[in-house]
Amino acid sequence: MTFNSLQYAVFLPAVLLVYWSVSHRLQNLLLLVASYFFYATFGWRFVGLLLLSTVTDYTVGRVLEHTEDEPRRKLVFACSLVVNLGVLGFFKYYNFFSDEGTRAFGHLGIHLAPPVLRVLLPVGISFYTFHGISYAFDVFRRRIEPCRDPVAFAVFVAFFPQLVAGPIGRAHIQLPQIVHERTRPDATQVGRAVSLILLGLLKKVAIADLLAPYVDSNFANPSAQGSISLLLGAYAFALQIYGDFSGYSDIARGSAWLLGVNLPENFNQPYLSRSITEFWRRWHISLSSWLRDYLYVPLGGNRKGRWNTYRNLMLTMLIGGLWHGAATTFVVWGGLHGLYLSVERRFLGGETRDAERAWSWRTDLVPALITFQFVCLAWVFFRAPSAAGAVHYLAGIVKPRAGSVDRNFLLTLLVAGVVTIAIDAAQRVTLDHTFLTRLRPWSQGLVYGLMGSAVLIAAGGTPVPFIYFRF
Amino acid sequence: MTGSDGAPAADVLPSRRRARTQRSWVARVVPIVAVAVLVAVFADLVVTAAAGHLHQPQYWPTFESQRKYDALRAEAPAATTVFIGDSVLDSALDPGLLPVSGLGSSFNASLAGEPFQVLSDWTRIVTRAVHPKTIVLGFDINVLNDGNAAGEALLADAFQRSRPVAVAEGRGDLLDHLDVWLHEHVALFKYRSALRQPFQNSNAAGAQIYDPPLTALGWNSDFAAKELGNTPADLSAAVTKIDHDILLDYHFDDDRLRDFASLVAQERRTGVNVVFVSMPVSPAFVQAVPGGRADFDAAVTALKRAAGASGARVVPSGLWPSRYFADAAHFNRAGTIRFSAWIASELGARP
Repeated sequence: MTFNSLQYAVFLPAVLLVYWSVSHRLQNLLLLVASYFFYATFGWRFVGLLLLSTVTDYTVGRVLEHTEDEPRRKLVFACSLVVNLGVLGFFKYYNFFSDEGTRAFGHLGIHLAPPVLRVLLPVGISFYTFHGISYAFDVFRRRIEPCRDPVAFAVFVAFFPQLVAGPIGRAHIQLPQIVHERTRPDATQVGRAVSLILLGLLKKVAIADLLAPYVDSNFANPSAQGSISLLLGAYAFALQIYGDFSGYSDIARGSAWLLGVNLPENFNQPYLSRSITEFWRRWHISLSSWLRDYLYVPLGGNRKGRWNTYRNLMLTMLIGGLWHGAATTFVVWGGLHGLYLSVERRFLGGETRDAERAWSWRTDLVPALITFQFVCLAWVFFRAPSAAGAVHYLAGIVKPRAGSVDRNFLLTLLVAGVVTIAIDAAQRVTLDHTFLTRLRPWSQGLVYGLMGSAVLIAAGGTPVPFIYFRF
Repeated sequence: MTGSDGAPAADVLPSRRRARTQRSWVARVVPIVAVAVLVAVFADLVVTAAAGHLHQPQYWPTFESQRKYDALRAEAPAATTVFIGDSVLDSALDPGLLPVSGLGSSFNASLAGEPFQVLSDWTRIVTRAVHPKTIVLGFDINVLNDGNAAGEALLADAFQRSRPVAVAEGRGDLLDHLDVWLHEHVALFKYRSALRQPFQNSNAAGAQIYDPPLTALGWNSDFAAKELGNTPADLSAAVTKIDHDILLDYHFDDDRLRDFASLVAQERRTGVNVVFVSMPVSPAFVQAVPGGRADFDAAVTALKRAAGASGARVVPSGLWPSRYFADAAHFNRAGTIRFSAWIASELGARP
């Protein structure tokens, strides 16, 4: 049951109807049942993993609460890491490390034959295991009190709007919202939530899904395309993945608002960034801040000299890349971003860090365009079927090659680009993701009518899954 | 309901405020929804007006099944005799040449290029849609050939999983029905593929081949020219290919025979008269059977026996001269005229 399916259009109102007519305790119970049902629609066999992760972290939290001995606390925290990373490692990385290890040893003349397993990747495993790890880490570091209510904790891990593709929640922000009674959203808040959901649907269905076939055909057979078409294909993927993932996040946040829960912002006009450093403060914010707080800072951050800072940046981004999937393409993508960040830190220093500085078309357009090119370069590795495929794709762009460009592709890309920029610019100017609710009622009706028509035209028979469901 | 000082009683105040808030909320939402609906309806009307300039979308697995299903429903319940077969019967029969008296109104619901599993489902759909008095099944022995089982299974699977097929068979779920309803009533949805790709008619080439203009009675009038090619060279190449492929990997399959018998029996149970026509074939066709004439005769006999045992009236034929055929299997125009007259007399139509 994806957010862009008719099933979800029935599921969410049904949950809301019951949710706001029962007590807080029953609300949590309902959320738990609804979340597990939602997860089971992607494959009931993996519900056990979600339960395992939840039970482990809840138990770890309770044990840590009663343990003062530091080595013992470390041991208990290690249990959470072993279970969460063990599950993640086995289901996500077994095949990758098995294949790459066999290949590496093969080069040394050692022939290994690890057992071949057909391991299916459970949906959302990267997200809920990171939820659990962050909770256990925060309890271990005594930043938060452990949660005593097992139902509330289970809801925190499995909360359906963010379960399968984030945003990755933080326990100290989200758990209190689950534990304590929630306020029913008023008419304005409902309007804002619905507006955000509709905007997310537009981004997903009418931007990402319409670009998808052109992107797929470009990356499937780059040899058959001319240089211009390949270049536009890379831009199209940049818009596709942004529309797909930010659209998902918008629907997730809007759905959570309707349930009285505030989820963290995940995207904040990333393609208007004037540097890669700024980009990472605006793109997949919940992951980048997670990596910063639980990996980069514990590694030493920028406190131990220039070269250690570069090493930490590189390591963080490489692991960030690997988090997306077990493939060399993701590792290269992460490595490229680590390199960008290191180079920026070396040559541009603090100038790159001011993400909140007001945007000016006069002075910021060129840096934003340059940043976008570097981001797109890395996206080619992210999207290509293999690292060699990405190099082949990029070679096709660099070495001029004639070839026609599909006019439908051009039109779709143009419309997608204009709509994306218009949405981002409006959000940037108003500092409000739900800027549409500021319009007069008839203007809102006009915009929603156009959005609804666009979604109707763009919607296919079977909903296209969100890209980040794979991660 | 006021207090001693004339102010609203404490327990009444919140409910009045609530009512006022609710009214203002409704006053705000209604214009938004009304304008949004108006915009969407206006957009839909614009697309409806422009529909003549847009290519017809395909939402059935093939254009031919879609067009014929629409035509059948438009004709219903006028068609009293429906002919169902593969491309051979599709090219062989022109209902326009059949006399109305005796047979009533006839419709050629044959589907070119579809395997027997699909034609079997299709027969059930046709029966359900128009409740004809008589169904005429026309097949040659190729219906028993499982030489391309894997490829045929893919086509059958695609047909089965199609939403309009599910609805037409009466087994669709709510989403299938909604999808079909949107196709039939909302132009924005129906023409969405054309609207997404305004610069090209991506299905145009396919439409010429698989969705030829049909007569009101569903006869595929351009079959030979469109299916086999437009130029003499195309035609010649296509004929050579069909002659070569027609019984490629031919293998008589007992399961197919059972499936065929089961289809006949099932149709009979619905109260429909079933006629099985063993389709006339060319000498080249018989030569292409791996076991030659003996195997051909054995397969034809098995088909006729299965049909008869399941309750169908059997109309035998045999070898027809090559001059009636465009290739080893399909009829040319002369063959169509000859076959239509022959089947009319076999079915007892009065000229």
